[in-house]
Amino acid sequence: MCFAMIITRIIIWVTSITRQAYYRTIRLYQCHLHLISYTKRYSLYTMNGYLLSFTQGRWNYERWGGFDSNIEPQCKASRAATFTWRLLKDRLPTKGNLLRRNIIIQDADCPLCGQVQEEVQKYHIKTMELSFNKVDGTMIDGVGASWKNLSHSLSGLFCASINFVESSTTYSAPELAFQSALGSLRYGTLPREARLHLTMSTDHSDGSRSGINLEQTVTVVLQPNDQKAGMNHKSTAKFAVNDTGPEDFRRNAGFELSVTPKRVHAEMETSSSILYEYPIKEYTETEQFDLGLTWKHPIVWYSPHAPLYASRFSMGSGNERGAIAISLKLIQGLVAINNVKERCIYYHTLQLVVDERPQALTDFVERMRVSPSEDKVSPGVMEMGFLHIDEYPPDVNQGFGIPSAIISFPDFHAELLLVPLTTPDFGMPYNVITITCTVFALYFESLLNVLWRGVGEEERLLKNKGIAVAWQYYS
Amino acid sequence: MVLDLRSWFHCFEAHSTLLSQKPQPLFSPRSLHPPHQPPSPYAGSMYHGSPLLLTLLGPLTVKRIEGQPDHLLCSLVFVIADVVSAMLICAAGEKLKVACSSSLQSLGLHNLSENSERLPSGDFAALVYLWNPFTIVACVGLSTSAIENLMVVLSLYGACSRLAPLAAFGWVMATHLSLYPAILIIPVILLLGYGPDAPPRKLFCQRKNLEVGNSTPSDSCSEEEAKNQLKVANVFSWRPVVFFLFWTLLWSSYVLVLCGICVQQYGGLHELFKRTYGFILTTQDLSPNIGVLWYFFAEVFDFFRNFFLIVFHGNILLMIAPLALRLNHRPCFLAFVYIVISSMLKSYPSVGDSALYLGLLGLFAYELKDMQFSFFLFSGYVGVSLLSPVMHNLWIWRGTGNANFYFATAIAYACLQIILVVESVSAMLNHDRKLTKLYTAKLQHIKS
Repeated sequence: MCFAMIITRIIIWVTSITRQAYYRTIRLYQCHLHLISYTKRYSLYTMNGYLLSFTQGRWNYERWGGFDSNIEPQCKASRAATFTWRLLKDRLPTKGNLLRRNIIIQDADCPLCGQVQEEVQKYHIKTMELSFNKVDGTMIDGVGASWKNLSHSLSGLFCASINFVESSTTYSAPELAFQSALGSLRYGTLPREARLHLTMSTDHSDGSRSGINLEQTVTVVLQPNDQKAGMNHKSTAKFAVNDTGPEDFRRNAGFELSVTPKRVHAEMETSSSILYEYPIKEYTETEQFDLGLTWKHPIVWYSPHAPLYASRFSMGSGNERGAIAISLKLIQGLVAINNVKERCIYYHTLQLVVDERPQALTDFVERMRVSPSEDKVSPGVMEMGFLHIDEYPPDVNQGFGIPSAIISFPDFHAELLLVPLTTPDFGMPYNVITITCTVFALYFESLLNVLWRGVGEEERLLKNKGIAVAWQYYS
Repeated sequence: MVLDLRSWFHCFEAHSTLLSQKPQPLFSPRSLHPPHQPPSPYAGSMYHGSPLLLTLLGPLTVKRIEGQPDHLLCSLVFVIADVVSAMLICAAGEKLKVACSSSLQSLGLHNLSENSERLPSGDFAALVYLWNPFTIVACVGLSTSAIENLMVVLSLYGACSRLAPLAAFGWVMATHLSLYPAILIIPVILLLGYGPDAPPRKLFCQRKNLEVGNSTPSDSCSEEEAKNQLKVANVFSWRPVVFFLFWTLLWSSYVLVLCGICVQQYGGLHELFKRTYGFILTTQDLSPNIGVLWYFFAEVFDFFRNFFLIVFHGNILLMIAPLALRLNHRPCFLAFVYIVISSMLKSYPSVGDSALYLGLLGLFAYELKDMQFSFFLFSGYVGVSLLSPVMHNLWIWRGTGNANFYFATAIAYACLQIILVVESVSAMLNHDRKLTKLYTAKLQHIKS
């Protein structure tokens, strides 16, 4: 009886999520959360809550501010974010958690391997190991089989459409960006889901522990609670028995007053605030009261810049003017991947612009690997390796900001790009079919009519002339 | 104005460069990896042409002259091909004119013979080909249709001159570069067998019977000469045809061996045929072009795709036999009609195909002078040439139109080509009918 009740509860939980999935697909939010280093982040920030923004990661916090209260009531987490949040808080309904909350179950072992008690960490480790244990045969088949197993396992875990990355049209095998796993790497992305980047490697020969680099990100908007000591503009007033004058108070304050106050009151009982008194009746219509307040120390609060900023966008359209551009700031030994799935990509038109000036490709691009794309079979992969800082030619250094350190960003990704396609009119397939067939029927009937009519007319013409010799020849 | 012209040219470039994109070689100046095998030219969907043409033109696109555009040498090859095509059209026109004059004189129609001699149809056709905006646009867009046109004209000139090796080489190369000139083997054989264009053969038969009936002893020498001339004009010569077939077999084997050598490390001849002729027959690429098949197969359901492929490719084959039976005395005009039909019904048409048949149309300026709707056709071609880039711009670049705008111009273009081929065949048949009428009246006059 209790076991049946437990099963019913689990089913209700799954059904509830499944039912709400229909409505949540209307609003899909971007999730960024680094699971690998979540322990360190967890210690740095006490995360009481997080906010998923509507801006899909495009909000300019340093320029436009940090918090928009209008979207707070509508903010709802996506399924992947909810799962990750419960994963971090250890609130998943694993059997260990059920046992810990005095819920009686028959089997406390992990349902996947049946060896240890089901926990959060082991759950994912076991999932990965199961994916790896099914590797057999050649390396290519092994990578493909592991990729399929991984995509199906994760799609089951996250209740998302991760299984779309299974087919060969949505993943690629880059070799320059991840050089540690040549030939046995799969890289797939989902442009429309809450962005999940799945990279998997089945290379066990190097002895290092291979695993799944699962990255999800939550856009956290931070507001500083306290300010720096240098920014503290409160001043301790000195209370004197004899009134020494307002000049001393004027200098001690963190700001400057353009008009000298008549009297200064220091309230020591309640707080250490200072009250400046200006009698208004002393000023007349011609000489009005005008007080200016100037801070002595400027207050600056800014968010730290990212070491690398990469954005990708499409420019123009059509065969002549269409282009896909990757904008990179602070270019330092960068490897960029551009996974393009368009129809006709002409790689000979690749251009490189550094500091608003076009440059020759041979001066900057170290390696470039081009895999020609074929429609609906395999995407086009273009990888470029830029030069390192010490390999730049001397003339490029003029006006080019040289950073103080060389940093390589092998795992940096540009945002996903959706390129609009030229669509036919889906509303008139029958019109196209009938008009085209009518044109060809017109051609066939007209030409055949011209050919056939001439024969009969010529026969009648010769008969009417009554030439005996010709008639004798035909008979 | 210059910018508009450039935009206009590049819009046509979008039509013409469908099959002429070539893969660039790998770009690795400081590669850390070991050097590996270069990829196949048919990897991906960039190139679907001949490997021999790629061997010829590929180095020209990579090599560049300092301070000049990258494709200068490639453009020069296409310009030379166009000029040589015009020269061959002019030479073929001269041979056609001589043959037509000789035929008319042998029938006794001296007035028509003098009128035909006075019109320089070969020069006119060459000028029409060179000054055609379609030829210029195809050359500016770096389309390989210039070389295909050169091979077609080479086979026709070889057949008109009774040069079997040259005709065989032209036909084999034209069929190799694109599949559709294969149907030109019928007019080429008729040209080699019967000779260039002539009036209907029934007139020669009637004349021979008349001469046999009215022979007199006093003119035995001239009668023998006339009989021999009529006999030569009427009999099919099998010797040049056998030579042509032999040389065709020789050139085909040679081309296949060369292609096998080029693509043996990329899948062999099977892969070559699948990527070139299979690509043409299955209409895989649905990018917009100036024809109507791209939009048709973009909208048709997959269940009926094979059926419509058979119907549309069968439309070319269906009209071969009726046209050959009706126009076998005019092989050059038959070749012209075949070229118009194939350029209208091929999978990936371009304006270079129109340039070819509009140039060949000039060869028959005298016979087709009574063609109806000629001004309407001229205005239609000008209108479609101007509206097609506008509709493409509205759809692709500006986004204010949709695919139907561009498809409407494609339908209009197809209708114009249909009117052209139907009216030209009708005018040629009317011309033959007029010759028959004149000769019949002349015979009646002689008899009375």
